[in-house]
Amino acid sequence: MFKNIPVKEGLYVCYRYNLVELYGLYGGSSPIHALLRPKSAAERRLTVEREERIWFGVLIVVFLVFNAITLSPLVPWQKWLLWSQPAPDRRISIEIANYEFNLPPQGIEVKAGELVEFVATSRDVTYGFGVFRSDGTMVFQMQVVPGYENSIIWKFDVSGTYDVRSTEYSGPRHPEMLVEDAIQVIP
Amino acid sequence: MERIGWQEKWTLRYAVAGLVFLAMSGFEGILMRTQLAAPEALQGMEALLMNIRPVTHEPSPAELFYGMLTVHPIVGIYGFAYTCVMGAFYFLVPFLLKKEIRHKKLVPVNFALQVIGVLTCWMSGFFGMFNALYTLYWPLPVSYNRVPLAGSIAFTSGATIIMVNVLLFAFNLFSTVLSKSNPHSYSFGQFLLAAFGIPRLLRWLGLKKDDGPNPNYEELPVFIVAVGRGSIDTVINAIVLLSAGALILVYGLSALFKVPLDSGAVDALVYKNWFWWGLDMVADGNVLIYTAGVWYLLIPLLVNRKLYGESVVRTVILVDLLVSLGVWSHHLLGDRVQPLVMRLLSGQFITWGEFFTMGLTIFASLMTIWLARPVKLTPALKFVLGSIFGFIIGGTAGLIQANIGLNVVFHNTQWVIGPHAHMLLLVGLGMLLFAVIYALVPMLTKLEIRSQRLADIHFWTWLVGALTMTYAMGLAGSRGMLRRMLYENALYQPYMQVALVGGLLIAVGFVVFLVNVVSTLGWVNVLSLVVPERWLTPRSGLRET
Repeated sequence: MFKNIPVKEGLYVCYRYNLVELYGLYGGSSPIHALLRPKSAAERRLTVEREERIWFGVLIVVFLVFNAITLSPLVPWQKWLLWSQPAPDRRISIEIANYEFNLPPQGIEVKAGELVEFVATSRDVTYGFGVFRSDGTMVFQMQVVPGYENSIIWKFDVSGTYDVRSTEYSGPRHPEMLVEDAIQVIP
Repeated sequence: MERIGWQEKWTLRYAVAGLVFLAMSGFEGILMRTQLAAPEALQGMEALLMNIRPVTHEPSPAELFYGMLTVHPIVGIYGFAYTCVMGAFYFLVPFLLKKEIRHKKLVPVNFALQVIGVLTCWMSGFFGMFNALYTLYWPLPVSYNRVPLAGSIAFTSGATIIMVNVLLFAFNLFSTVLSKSNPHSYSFGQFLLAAFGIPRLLRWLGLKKDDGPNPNYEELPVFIVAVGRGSIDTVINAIVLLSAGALILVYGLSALFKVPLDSGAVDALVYKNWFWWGLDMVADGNVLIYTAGVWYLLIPLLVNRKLYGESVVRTVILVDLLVSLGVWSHHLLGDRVQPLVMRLLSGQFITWGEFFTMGLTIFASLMTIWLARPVKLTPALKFVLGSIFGFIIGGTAGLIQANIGLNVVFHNTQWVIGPHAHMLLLVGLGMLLFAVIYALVPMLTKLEIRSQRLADIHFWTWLVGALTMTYAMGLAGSRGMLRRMLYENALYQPYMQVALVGGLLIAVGFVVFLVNVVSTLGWVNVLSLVVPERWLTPRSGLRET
């Protein structure tokens, strides 16, 4: 059995090298209560210290800069997902049911640079529709909510083949939901 | 023989149960990490476990993985975090208010129900192979060709017990704050007004005169204000999840009695909004507000200085509550059918509200420590600083994914669960709860933490382990690795192997912590928390005064 090291009676300290003494636990006036309660009317008013104003200014600047950059076309797809509502050049329907993607039987072949609208529907549970490069990195994705037409417009820049994978858990067979080389992008 | 109060003993029991659940959740985490790094590694163990599982067919590795993945967050959050928070608040709230708990009988009841509820959920995954994940997206939890019916009923029953228990706990907290057992009592209306910060706001706007120096309800310690406001989120969360659980349970029981209901009767998108609105009250509601409250309590105590900028801090807690009511759409940024205005306002801009509230909270906390120099870096203070660090990193990662542009490539990736969720939970919240334990153990038992060196080892292994694990997950996520996915190819295995090393370091830190705490309390004292006093010799154990 380990030996206990009792602390001085009546004195509640966190550690011997700590500064705080907490005594008078239930009742009496203890320093802990003086430390934690505002006393004067001035302390109850909303007063802002100078450093807090400066810091608040810094936070506002970070907020503005980060949001301005990420909402701008510096994030390329914001051009057609947020700022304009372009009419797509092509529309491709995908139906998902029982863990399977039903893609167009002739395959999906799109030209680099054209605006393609992917419309995905689910006949049972929620899935995801994600497009991946062959090195595993993600191009884009959306959720496929049953009972709705879920659509996203995309413009491929680079020609090649792309995989389709479900990006939402739909049951234990979820990892099987991969269609390799599902999309062919030609120059 | 140590003498210890009734409430103190119960708080220690809550802490012990919470730590047992942390060990369970962590063990599951390591198992899943192992499976991700080396997919076949668990086969031997699983073959043994199949002897005690009452399932009709041998589950696939994926079913086992998703069963664990479903209960891992329940055990971690409702088992570890909630249980520890309940124990700590049951001691701190009456202590700071100089009152007794209003309904003392509820203290052991809450303890028992929380343990029973969490274990029921855990068993639904371990034995029942329930695998709909905590997200429970409609209609997956009632699609019985994908999730087992018995497991679904067991899981929702366990979740119902937990939610009812959380409501009972919140009721007891509010009753304690509002009880008229001393001159400083408050009516429920006054407390709600104070909790929402209305009088403060009115005075700021010049619509109300100062109340003068009379002590009033606004003199509640800022920690109590945070507990009150956070508990509003806690209650909303419990009610919403209770309603979702009840819905799933009704469908489950109907299927059990061969009168299946049509799952199409519930709109999947409306359900998803309702569910996330309630569920998010934990992540972006009570966790943040309770955390802020605990920083506001512990830091002044540990550095012996009044909280810097307390006036702003009280207002910030109010804003945090309002923000938490409006941020849920950041979970639906991948849903193109969610209206754009909702994704942009609720999903992105209101989420940035947390950047301001947590930014000011962290500033006030760090300024308090700075102005109190020189301070002793006690284990509790070190862990408080660690938790602030965790919230900075985890919060920043969250803001990157809660963005309608960037979410297109971050949604449901390892980024979300690594640098955001696990950074917040393991470093932000986890280290805060360790700080509370390091600070409360001496307060409760009059025993000093035995080894400063072990506390340091705990600090560094936990922090470096969590950073290694979440950083590896984040890198994999930014390379396209999804969360909740078992990959057949070895595309992301190097990342997962590094993450496993990080996970093991975390486990080492936890074991070091346990050794330190048990050697501080002594085996007999720890035993005295769980076995009747009469079984122990008169000279041993923590005795109730």
